[in-house]
Amino acid sequence: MMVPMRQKGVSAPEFVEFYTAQKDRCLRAAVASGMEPDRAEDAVAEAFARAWSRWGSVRGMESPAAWVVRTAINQHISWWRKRRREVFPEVPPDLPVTDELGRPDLVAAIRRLPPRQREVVVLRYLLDLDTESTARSMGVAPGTVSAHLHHALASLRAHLTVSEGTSP
Amino acid sequence: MTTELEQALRSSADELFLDTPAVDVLARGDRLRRERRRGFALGASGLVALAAIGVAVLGGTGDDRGPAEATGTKDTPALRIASWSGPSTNLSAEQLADVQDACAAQARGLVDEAGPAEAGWLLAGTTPPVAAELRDDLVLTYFRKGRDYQTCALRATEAGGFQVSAQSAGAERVMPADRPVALVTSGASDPGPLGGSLSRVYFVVRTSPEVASVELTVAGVTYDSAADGLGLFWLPEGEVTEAQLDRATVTALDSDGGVLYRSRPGQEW
Repeated sequence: MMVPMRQKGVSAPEFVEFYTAQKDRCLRAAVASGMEPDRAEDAVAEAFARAWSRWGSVRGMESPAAWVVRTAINQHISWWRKRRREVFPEVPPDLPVTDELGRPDLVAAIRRLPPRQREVVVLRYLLDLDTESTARSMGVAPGTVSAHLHHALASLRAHLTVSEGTSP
Repeated sequence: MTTELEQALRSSADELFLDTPAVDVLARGDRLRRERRRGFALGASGLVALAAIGVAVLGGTGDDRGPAEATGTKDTPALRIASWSGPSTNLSAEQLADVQDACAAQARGLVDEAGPAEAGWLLAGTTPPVAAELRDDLVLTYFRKGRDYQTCALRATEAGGFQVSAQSAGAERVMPADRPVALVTSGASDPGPLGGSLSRVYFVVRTSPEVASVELTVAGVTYDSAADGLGLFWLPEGEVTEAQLDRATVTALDSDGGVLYRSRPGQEW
């Protein structure tokens, strides 16, 4: 059996507990943030490994799970995408996003939100952080989080209403 | 109060599970940690060598940054509107006006919400596009004044109008001193998954005065664009992956077809 390296002041069982509790949540957050599921699996696993390699500092962060998701995403941003500056308007109500069966696709709708709104939704709902923790993780005021969340929910609600109304 | 939507968000993508065993993650983490330690132990000689390289690179970067006027680009005459595929737009004057209005309104909304922004966001409301093309149900436009730019992609609606689907704005980069072509911006008709496939991809490149045409090679296919300070590419329908785009190369040619510059796959340009 493999025995993890000892790191000063940290324990493998503690990390394993964190990993077990957060791995699926982080994968879903990475996918909702825009990663393809197949790539996200490898990227999130690698990000967890990086978290373990420096667990002494990561464990003390505001949200280690948010760090894992951000690390997974950052690993896969190419120079080409870094040069993209596009802003995608909130999903227009007459352009519903549906899955292959014509049902509203919530993850696709989250992906189309403007970046800050998307980040707030991912942190608040997929990683289950409260408003204060979300604000600290993003480096913004709690009021800004609430404002982004308000716009994001309004957009998603409109999208879902139209999608449900237009599905067969 | 938790709404139905918030509940749905909390359970979205809940069909996804990460199956990597914890033991594998721990082993990989340990390996990363060992490699980092080995990196720290490179020794003073390695650090000295790296420092020398760093100085050279930083020196080059500083020299690359000439004044904006050094590029010699000129403003395109107001009513000469090109398409991304050829010399003239395929949009009617009425459609162009609708497109301009839609782009301006959307950009105003963004600026109102986010506060003061780059001057490029205001271009659609003040100047006609330098390029606009309708393909199927998608219109792609490029606004430009001086070095400020705005891209605006719109979908044609069933009612005959246009709805903005993506926008970007910024300032075109100053031309690097060591090459006659540089990417201004690029995008796709949809945000696309990170690292995944994208369709209807476009590129805008800036060129120096001696460049007459530019070639863009993506996934083994080469596309041409005339260059008059700008080169515009809108790839045909069909998906390309982000990895292929990351390895796209650009070639700048003079009026005799001589190669002035050719990038290497994976090299940023």
